[in-house]
Amino acid sequence: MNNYFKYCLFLTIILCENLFAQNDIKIDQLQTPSSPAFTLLDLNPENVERPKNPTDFAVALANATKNFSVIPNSYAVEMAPFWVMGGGKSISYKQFIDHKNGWQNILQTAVLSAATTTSKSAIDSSDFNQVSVGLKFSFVRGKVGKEWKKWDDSASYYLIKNAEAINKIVDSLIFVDSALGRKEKDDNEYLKEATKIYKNSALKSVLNDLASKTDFKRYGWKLDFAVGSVLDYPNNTFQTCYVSKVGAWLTGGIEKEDGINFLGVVRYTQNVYRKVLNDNAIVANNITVGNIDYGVRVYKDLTEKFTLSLEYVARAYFYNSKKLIDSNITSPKNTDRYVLSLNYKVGTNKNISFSLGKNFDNSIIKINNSDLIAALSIGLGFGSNRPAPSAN
Amino acid sequence: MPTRIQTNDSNDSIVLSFECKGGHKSGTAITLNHIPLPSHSDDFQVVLGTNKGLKGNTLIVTTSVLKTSLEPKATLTYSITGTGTPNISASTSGFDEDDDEDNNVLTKMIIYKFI
Repeated sequence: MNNYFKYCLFLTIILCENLFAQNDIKIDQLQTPSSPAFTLLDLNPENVERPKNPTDFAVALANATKNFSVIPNSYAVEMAPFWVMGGGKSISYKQFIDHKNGWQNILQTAVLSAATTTSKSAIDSSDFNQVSVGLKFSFVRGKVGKEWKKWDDSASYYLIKNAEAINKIVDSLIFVDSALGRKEKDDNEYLKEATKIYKNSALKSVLNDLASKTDFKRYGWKLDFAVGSVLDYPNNTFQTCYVSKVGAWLTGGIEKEDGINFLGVVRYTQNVYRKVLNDNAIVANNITVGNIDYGVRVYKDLTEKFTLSLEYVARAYFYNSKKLIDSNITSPKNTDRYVLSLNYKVGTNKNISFSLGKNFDNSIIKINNSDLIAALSIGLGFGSNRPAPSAN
Repeated sequence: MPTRIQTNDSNDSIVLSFECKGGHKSGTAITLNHIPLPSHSDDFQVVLGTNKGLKGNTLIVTTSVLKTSLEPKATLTYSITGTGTPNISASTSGFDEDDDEDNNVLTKMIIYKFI
């Protein structure tokens, strides 16, 4: 029944994606899934998230390649509250493009995310659900590049051409009405008449084309902040949930118009283990371990659709040694993670990412000793009727 | 009906201002008594002339807006100042409200008669 439900959900997502895909404007803003909610569940292919502009609603599915024959069991959704709640009504084009106003950067890039996955219990290997929520926004989002300038010049030229042609026709219509002594019409009536007369399909085609090419890249210095927490449902009942992880992190760096890009991350995470098996396989209660991750990601867009990325993240643990010794738990040792990722844009708002590398070593929970990362992820963006300048 | 703007006999400047909200790109054409004035991209402010000089003239302002942001509507505000009582005209339109099938571009127009 559970698999049947997941299968239906998966089909619904694909069908919805097709419905939303009928929107007239297509945009490409979705990169590899990088929801904070996914990161806290350790489901992101990359640990150093590449800053990106929010789609208004995006869904990411993830699954280990070894299980890819089944329906994915990890899902993330993202929502941009500023755009969904009508914040865009109050901003000008200049504010939309600008990168200098920190408050506007935060508002326009804020993304709320939620994710869910099924995990194995450290005590008896039974399945239980984890739900994660997160918030991410950019303090610094980079400035639009040369391609935007080219687009802006073209858009200005053709919009003015369109307005001038209609203006000229309206002027003639008013002149004729005045010359013939006819009663003055309403502004909108003149406009309707003029647009009926002026049928320039070539100009409309150019403007529509421009509307579909607003996937401007942003370059320069970038700084993102993310925060989130994970709720565990050990008995898969609502009443038994508890906060098992909280985290906050900064991701920043520089992205150039040409060349290799660098991003760094500093992340603090606090893990709470209500029940965990100690070295003698006896249940220990309420173990808290914190860690700080720090690392870099180097990547390059090899083509418009293909991105190669390499990242290295080190992890330092801190904990109450006495509590661990009393509980007969071996102290976790500092560890690291490195991943090579290939991201391919399949189409508008569709991305496939393959990642291969070594994950952090398990330190407290010993249920899964594999440190291999071999993941295939899919990203889908829905309802993104916003050809916004993206930060990718 | 065209918007009537009451002028006086002074040499005070009359200014036309335009702003578009919604994060969209726009372009505006202006015709004053059959003579095209310089066109403008996005928000602008332009001195049209003096009260005395503009009396009896007709001003046609047409703006085309290209959908650029996620916001499905655009609010266009035209203001005429320098004539005693400022005239402010604001209207909000959705890109999909246009009768035309083309829903990435919307066009608005306002006619002023200086009396």
